[in-house]
Amino acid sequence: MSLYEEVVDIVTDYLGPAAERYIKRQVDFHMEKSAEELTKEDVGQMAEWVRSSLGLLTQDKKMVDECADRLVALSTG
Amino acid sequence: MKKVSGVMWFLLVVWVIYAYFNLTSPIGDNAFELTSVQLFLIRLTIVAPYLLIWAAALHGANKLSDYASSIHDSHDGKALVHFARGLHVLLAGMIASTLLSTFTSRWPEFASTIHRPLQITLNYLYVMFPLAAYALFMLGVREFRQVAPKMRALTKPILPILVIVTMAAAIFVIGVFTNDEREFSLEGQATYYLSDMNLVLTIVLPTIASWLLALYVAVNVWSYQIEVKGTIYKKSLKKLSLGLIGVVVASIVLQFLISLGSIRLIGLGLELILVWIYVWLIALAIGYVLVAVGARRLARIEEVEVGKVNGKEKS
Repeated sequence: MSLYEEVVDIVTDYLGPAAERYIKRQVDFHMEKSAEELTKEDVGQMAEWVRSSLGLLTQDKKMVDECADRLVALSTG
Repeated sequence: MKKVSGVMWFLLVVWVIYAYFNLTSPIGDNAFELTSVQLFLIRLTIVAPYLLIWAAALHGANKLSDYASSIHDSHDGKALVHFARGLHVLLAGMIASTLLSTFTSRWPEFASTIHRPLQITLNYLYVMFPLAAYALFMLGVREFRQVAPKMRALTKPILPILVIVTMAAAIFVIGVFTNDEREFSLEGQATYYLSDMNLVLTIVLPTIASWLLALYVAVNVWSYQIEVKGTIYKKSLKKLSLGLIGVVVASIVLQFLISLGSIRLIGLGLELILVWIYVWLIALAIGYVLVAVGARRLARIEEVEVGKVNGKEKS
């Protein structure tokens, strides 16, 4: 499983079928590369975007932190 | 946005015409011996909510359509495009049948000369629009299955669906064929003006098929909401699912009431008829409002960027 697929897999647990679209949109918006070219450093940065953007969709801070922490773990693992 | 507003204005004009013709229709048989003031007030309590329901229906279907169009390349987007089209078809059928029904009440003498084709057309409107809408919903369910493959394993609801539809179909068939005025009427107007064979092939079977489709769709939409991944997505989807199921159930109830025929409906008594109508109107309005709210919430997921939702900065 590629890094990108692992990221999609984690975010899918929270955003379901919207996850892949969300990741591609975030990468398009912030990086000049395709989502498939994500590196571990990018995923660490993405964890922070997730923390702030998912917080706009839910009041459940624990869930948002859990998603961001899983991405952080992926970037450092 | 301008396009939606234009359609809303058109809807308002259609409703004003409908309201005027309905409220100025002659009293007719006056089966419940109401005064003209009582009749006017009762009509008003039905005519007024129609505007809210039509507006809620159009708003809900448009919201869903907008959201589905924004993600049309994905399977869930394709599914919701079918659902949005189905909701538009249901709304079109509801408006067309309401207008035609009002026309026959407003000009009873003229309508009586062409009552046979009018009644046949009205019956087909009641049957064919929902059938077409549910068929579109089925296409949507097929796309949902690509997103949540576990839905394939959900075969258990089939049996309860068959039991419920069989029972409803039995009551419906008995109701239709114990109606002595189904093809001819010596005193008034017949209910269907169709031979038994045509009645079975073009009204009874399509109606039963539409109920089967509708319940199958309702169960599958709920199954999708349960099986699809994504904690935040599921919460947003729940309102949309409840709304779609509400609209489907409300349209089944309407078809069932219509199938009773006017004589049996009058036999229920004024209070019971009004209760059924109001419950139906409220259920339908809530269903469409939930569709709009659900679509709006799902759209937020597609719009969210770091620090903003729908172009607005987080406060």
